[in-house]
Amino acid sequence: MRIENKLMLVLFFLLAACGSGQPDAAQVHAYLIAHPEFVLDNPDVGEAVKSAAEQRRRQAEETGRRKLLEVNSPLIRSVLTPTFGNPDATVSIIQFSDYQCVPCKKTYVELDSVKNSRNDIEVLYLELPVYGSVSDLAARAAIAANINDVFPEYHHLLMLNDAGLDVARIREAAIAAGMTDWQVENSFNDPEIKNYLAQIRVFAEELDVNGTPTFLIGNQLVRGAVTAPQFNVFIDRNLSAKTR
Amino acid sequence: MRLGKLLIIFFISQLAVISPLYAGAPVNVTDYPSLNEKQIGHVRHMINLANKLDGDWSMMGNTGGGMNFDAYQFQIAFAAYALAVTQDHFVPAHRDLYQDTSARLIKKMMYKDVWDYWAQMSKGEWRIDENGEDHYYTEDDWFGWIDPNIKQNIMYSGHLLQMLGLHESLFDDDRYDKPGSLTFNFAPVAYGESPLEIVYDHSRLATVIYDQFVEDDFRGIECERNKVYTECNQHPILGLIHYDYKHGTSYAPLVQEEFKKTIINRGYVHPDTHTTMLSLDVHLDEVIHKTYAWSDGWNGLVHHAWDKEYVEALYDEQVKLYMPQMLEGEPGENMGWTASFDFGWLAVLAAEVGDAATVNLMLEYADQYFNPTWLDGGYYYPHTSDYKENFRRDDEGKIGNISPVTGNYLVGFARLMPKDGMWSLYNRTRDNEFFAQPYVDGVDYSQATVSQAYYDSGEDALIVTIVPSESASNAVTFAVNQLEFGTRYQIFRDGESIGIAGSNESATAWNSEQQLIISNELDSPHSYVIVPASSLVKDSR
Repeated sequence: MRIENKLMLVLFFLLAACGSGQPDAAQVHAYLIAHPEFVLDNPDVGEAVKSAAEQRRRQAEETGRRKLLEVNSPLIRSVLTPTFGNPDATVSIIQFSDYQCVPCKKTYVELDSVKNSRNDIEVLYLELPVYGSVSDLAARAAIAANINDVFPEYHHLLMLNDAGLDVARIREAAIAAGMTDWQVENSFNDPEIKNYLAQIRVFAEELDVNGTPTFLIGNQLVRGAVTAPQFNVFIDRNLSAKTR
Repeated sequence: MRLGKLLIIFFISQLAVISPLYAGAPVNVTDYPSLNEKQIGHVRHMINLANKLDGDWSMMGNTGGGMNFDAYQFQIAFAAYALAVTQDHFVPAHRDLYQDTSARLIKKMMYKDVWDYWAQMSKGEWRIDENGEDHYYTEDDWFGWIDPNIKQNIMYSGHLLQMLGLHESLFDDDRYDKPGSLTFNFAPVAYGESPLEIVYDHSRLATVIYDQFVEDDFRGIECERNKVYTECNQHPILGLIHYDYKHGTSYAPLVQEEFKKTIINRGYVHPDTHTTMLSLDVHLDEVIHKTYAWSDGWNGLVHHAWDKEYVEALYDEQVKLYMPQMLEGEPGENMGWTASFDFGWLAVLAAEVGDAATVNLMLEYADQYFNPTWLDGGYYYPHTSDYKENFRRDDEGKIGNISPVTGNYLVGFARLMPKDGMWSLYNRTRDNEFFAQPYVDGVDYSQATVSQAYYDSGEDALIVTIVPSESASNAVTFAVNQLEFGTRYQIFRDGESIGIAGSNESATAWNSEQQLIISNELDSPHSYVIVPASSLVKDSR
């Protein structure tokens, strides 16, 4: 029996025993105020209250996230944001990542296999450079790659790059992906791209993202590396929640 | 073409005749303060840490595990002080990077990991009752008091107030005056309590702290329950000085006068040893004297900003007491037990009072024994894994344990600090005239550092040097603001004239916001001097 149900049952019998029949909320409240020791004497009741509080906290977080997603929709759906898949998909995966982040690279392969195996998801890649200056420049070039329709190629090359990253390697990857030298150089100093990335950073902090990779799968925040089976569980959970 | 335009073209062409370009710059950039390579490294390391996402405390150690000076609030606050001194001394005409970083640091101070932990710690109180038993927390400590500023936590609130004052006075930015701009969010999870908002702004914080000084009859506000430390109380004094300056109040003078009397009358600085007390035990009303270099370094550094002669009169005795046993061998009885803290804070004080010999000795020592490291353009001394065992020295008697606050901030602060660096922040405050002067912004931090930016009003010259980072592209642009639009400015790059501002040959252009945009190649450091061409004509006559 769930602990919350147990709490209600206990209270019900307790109050019924007092001859008051089906207790209403006011009666429960009055009883507990008059007999607070009841909670102290029944640790499982305290646990139930904690659990209810935790559930309420989670709900508040989810509501907050939903609002943030709504407010930031123009940013998330900006033409600068690289996307994959069906924009009408039931489940959206927002990925915050950095090209120097090892778990991001590990997750890249996992997410890739998920992308290839199902058509009911959409992935939005939000660049969140947290590893310093080189990551900043790599993120700027990524947005330029998206503008120039070569983001998947560029992303693939940098995510599979297991050597250190520097400006020369960023250039090399961008050019191999199909960008010109001028486009790469321009991306490093493009004020529109810099401003867009700054806004992504603010959005991430509002979401309480404190590292990479972080995923927002539907409305669920998932921190750290994720395997393909885990992705599928999160996606299916979101799908079933939406179906319900 | 309209007649007016023709006249303007004629006028400009005549100006070109009477004001020829000068080959050599009218001022020498080496006459102005400039960050050297290691100083740039320290600045970048501090900014890199400030740029980390909220909640990412990597490289900053663990704030838990009881009272320690590596708590995030101290690291964040000393980053703010070091960067403020740097901005004031080396790059007063370059503000956006430092202003953004200052705001980031204040935001981090408002992060619950920072303020809540220390609000809780500050409620801690070791007391021994009449039966000889230890007592620490009470129920009231945990459930009746969340607000980190309202009482007995000046070791948090004092730093926040000083940071706000620096932000407002250095950048003329009053964002924290807005009601609710400093809102602490506390979301208790237990027993379904509602989230709590503790709403502050700059004014409320200043008032709350001033009231505590008055309420405590100027004996000093408790840093944690039952303990008054002198150094903790210096920070809010500096905060009040800036608050008064920007708000027209006069909180600071009374606090300075009365707290100074307390320091003397209660012997907070021992009349014989000239060292700062450890603390005042409030319940026992007893001053506990110790001779700790960290305590003298920390207190002296901040006290010097408002009481220069007094601190300098104490300094010689203090440095004799602590050096050279600070650096090697077995520390004597009159030496602190926290080697890394002692080192860091004494080094910063030595820099503030201008003891170059001691500072250089200590910086060389740090570079030799503290595992100096470059990371993403930042220069620092990584904290050792067992830094909480701070007393340890190696087999040769050298300091072997580096704490985060020392390695991330204090040694760097000592290297960045000019003589009277802190003092200048509180005695040469910026006025409207300063904020109307030309300045640069928009230099991309990921690719370059501004190592000097100074407007010399006597010469009517703006001096700027840009140093490329490791991750530089080919070029960056930056903007020069508040030049007189329409005036002909001559631009010198690395001592040579590159032409008139806005002309093709000078690689500069005016934009629609009347900023002068300069394209700077990132092949090597480049220095610029920008002066009105007319001033050169006048000088040449």
